Amino acid sequence: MNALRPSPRATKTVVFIAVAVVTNSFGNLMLALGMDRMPAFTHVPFVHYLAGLLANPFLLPGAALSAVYTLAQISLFSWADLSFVIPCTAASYAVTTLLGQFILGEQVEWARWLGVLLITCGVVLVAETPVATKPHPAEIRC
Amino acid sequence: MLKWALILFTVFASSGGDILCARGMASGGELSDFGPSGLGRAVRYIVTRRMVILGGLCYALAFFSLLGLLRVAALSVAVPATALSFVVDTIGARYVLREHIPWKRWAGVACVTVGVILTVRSGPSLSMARTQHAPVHAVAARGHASDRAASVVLP
Repeated sequence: MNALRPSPRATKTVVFIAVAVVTNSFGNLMLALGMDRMPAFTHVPFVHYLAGLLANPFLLPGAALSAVYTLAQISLFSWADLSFVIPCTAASYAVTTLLGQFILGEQVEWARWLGVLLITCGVVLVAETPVATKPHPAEIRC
Repeated sequence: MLKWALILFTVFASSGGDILCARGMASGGELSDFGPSGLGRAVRYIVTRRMVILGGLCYALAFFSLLGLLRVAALSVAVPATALSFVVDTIGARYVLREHIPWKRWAGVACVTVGVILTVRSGPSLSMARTQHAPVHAVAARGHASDRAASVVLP
């Protein structure tokens, strides 16, 4: 039975990838919503533009979500291969396309859905490979 | 032209950040304590590694480049386009980080690359995406029409 149970590292990897995918997708959505509310950079003084960035209700939360995504991904690098982590977090591209279609109302053509399907197949293929292919230094408690 | 320049800049800055951060984190030990007390130590550990700091600078460049990209391209075009960094990352992982990459990973990257080409070349233009196809509820969520018109002017 123990052989069927996922290892702590596998569980930790799935959790961190899920956090990275969700925060990246919603972070990008909020940044897009925020930038759409900004005036053209060339039309206003720089200080006013900066104040607009800080007062924008979407940009700071979007940046915070992007920061969580970055920290989750960098943490993954301490035990998993770069070539494993990066393609696995590609699930966020599918989620982002769904958000673009259903929340922003962007038109998504069939060819792009096919592209999203291929990206998803790629993620599945990579997820079937080992998390790490070279020995890592011993586990640390930082 | 500007859209493609921003896509390439975002991709290479992002991949440079990934490779630097991966090298910096892989040279230390595996993070394992993410509890309430361990989380702060983990963040401090991450932000004090030199390679990670350099990688963070690359991420900052990629972030601002992405902001510019989001102004000239629709979200569902701009973000999938940055998936080109999968190819650059995988090549960097193989030849810079010396990772062993099984055939399934290469196949996965090939699928992602074809997927990216499909998603980018079928994307609508800025004006189409923002003025013709956006339904009423989406227009309301994006602010005033004058903002959308002004957003066509590049920063």
